Amino acid sequence: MNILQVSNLIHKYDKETILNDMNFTLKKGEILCVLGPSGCGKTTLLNCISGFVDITGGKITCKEQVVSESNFTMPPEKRNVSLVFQDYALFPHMSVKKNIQFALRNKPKNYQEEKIVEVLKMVGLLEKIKNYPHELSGGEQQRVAIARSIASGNDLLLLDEPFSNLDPNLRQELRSELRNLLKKNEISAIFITHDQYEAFDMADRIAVLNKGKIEQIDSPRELYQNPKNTFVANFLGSKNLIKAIYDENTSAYTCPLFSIPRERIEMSEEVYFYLPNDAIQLKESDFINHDFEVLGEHFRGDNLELEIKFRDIEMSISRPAYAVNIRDKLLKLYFNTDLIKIIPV
Amino acid sequence: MKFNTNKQFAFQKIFILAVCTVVILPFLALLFRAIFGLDSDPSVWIHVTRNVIPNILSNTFSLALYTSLFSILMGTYSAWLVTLSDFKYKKILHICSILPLIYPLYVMSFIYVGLFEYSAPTMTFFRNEWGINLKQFIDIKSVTSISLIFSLCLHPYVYLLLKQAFEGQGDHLFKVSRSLGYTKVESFLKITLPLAKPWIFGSLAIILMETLADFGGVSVFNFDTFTTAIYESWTGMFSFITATKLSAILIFFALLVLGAEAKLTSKQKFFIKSKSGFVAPFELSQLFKSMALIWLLLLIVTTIFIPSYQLFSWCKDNLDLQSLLNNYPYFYNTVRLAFITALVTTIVTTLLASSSRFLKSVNWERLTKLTTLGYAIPGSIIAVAVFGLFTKIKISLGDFINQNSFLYFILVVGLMTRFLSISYKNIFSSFKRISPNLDKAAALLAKPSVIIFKIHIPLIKSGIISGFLMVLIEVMKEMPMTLMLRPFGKDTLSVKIYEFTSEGDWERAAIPALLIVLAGFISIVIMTVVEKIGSKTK
Repeated sequence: MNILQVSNLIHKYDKETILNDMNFTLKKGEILCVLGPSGCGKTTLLNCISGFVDITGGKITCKEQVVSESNFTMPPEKRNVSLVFQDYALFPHMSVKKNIQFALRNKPKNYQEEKIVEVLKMVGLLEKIKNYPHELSGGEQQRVAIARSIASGNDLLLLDEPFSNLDPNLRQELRSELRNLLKKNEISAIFITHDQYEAFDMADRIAVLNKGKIEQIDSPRELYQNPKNTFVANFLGSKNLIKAIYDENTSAYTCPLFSIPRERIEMSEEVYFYLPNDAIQLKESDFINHDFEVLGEHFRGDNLELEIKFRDIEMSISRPAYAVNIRDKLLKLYFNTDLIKIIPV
Repeated sequence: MKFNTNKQFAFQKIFILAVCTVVILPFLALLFRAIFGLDSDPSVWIHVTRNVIPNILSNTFSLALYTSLFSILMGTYSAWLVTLSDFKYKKILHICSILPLIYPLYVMSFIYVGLFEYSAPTMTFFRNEWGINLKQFIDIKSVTSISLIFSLCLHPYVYLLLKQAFEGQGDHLFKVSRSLGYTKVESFLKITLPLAKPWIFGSLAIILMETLADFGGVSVFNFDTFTTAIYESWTGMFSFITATKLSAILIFFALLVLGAEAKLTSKQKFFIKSKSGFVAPFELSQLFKSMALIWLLLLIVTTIFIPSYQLFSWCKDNLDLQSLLNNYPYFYNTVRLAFITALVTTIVTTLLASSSRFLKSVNWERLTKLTTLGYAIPGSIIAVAVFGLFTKIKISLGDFINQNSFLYFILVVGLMTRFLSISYKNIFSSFKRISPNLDKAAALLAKPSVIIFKIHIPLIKSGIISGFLMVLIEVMKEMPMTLMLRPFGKDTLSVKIYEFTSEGDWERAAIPALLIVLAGFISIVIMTVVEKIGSKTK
């Protein structure tokens, strides 16, 4: 069953189009990450789904029920959609217990008590039940906020950059904790972030947003291997894009490194080769190869990051230090053209 | 408790202790005399306990109660409209909700008393044209009317603090509450309003302090409260000890308010300011729109139109060169007193702030904070306190000191005690914006006196100037202390207003009142400008 269906969603503010013709669905228990640069409409999308802003066109359906249309907005309190924010948004005048109890209105007392203990155990904060938000660390506060959303019983959770106030180690820890909790409780979630690794970690599917439009929505692996255009590639893929020129004589796209026979892509003026990490190999093979000049080496612990150059083509690759073999400042690279994609701008 | 008592910064420590002594000692002496001077003036005291105290107790209490109630209602409604609703005329309402601060309570009071006098033009108009005797409907000297008029002047404090509270919450908490199944109204009542509690208490404390301290306003209505009783027993019954005892009772209430404020507003710091944006969630229905509009018009009429019309129409008839010249000496005295007090206060506070910064000790900072206690204490009590103590000192020194210069001196000390907190707030907040690392860097290169003049003062210049101006204007508006302690021949504008209004001579009181309202207007402008600059530098 679809928990959420967004069809042809349009939102305009002061004649400016913030969201433009958006379409996607969310299944029960599915986690969708929304990734995009700031100002691309991520937060507005959440506001539309939670009912805090009216939509200009299209339709939002929650569990077969229309909740937003151009002339109708169901109030947020009737939607069964929970929110988690970057600033945790715990009620500062209530204890941890009262904060969670707030989400359990109209439930019998016994049920409330049991549920509070249950969700606090889930996030490992049962001993903080009597504390006030200001007595908790950032990570603990966010755990309580998540516990509160789970307790509410709402089956859709919207998270607006929930971990960006936390330090990197804690962030990673909370990510996997949150993913497990959501999966265990079969809660669907839309998770906004601008951090590609966070999206890879959390998501079943990722939607890449640009200027109010979904550029691509796919599984993390598919997005990385097959970006639809250079925007998506730049945003989360390898940064290695090489301009490709079509050669009418050979019916192939070429660059100084290699050429790949392919039918001409219409519509787009500029076309690029997209080189995912595994298309560039260090191991000796039959693949086409070139000697690259090494411009810079950056030690990153597990990996060595290299800036390399061939004629006017600059690239960067990251490989385990033991595998890198540089001779006279030159590095030989082998290109698996089967893995190289040709994408429009 | 650990005081930093090593010999370093000895001058700074002695200075803080000295200011503390000057500020606190008069009150301790006052309490001492009130408790141990029981047997002096027994006949007056018996009369006062039997006939005066029950009446002024109930008057003071009911006035404080009604005024806080009305002010909270008015201020909260305006703050709600401006921050949380989609009311169309927010900006005008905002201005109208701050503007009443320009009227001292006694000016607003005598304007309304004058307006409702039997022979006043409006009353005559209503009687002659429509045959309505407004007096039958409105008793201007009842507690309800007085508190309503006081609330017109005082509700801006509630408005300003609540607006800050609502805006500071951001909209995330409200949104979470709604997503958890609560309607707008429920979320407002369960989240927004409870979160604003510390600010409500803070503004309540200000209203109570202002009401308890008021002297000029209630005397216009012939409404007896503690402050008028203190004045009466000193100047009318010539019993200074009775005034002292009454003051001790009022100090008790003032400290009660102060203590409650400190306790109830301490939670403010846990309610961290949200960085999230703010979208006013309430869309007003047609009925609510009309209500808001009526409220706005009511504010404009009662706090702008009526007062300015009344003041100008009184001034109009005798606004000639002669009457301006007649008022000039009082204007000069007022400005001179205000200037001297503001200068002394600013110098003292700057040195206090700088000293406390050098010492970097929590306890010394608390001691410094103690010097600002005077803001909670009514001016008439400060007058009694400083007069009591310093007269004792003067007598023991011998009679070579001129009585007039002595009074001028204690008046400045008293006014400084009362308004030190204003310049303290301004100067300390600009000090807080300077990184402590700057002091460390400077300490390696120069000695403290050099740091004060070359580093501290230039950096906190804006705080010093705004503090100076705000004290200047507060002193110009101050009435009871100036009235009670002024040396012979040094009448100020507020003293003149008291004299004229106690005789019901509204026309003659109008010109000094207009000058004071103008000063109030300037202070509002300064406040707004300082706030703007403050938010920019953040």
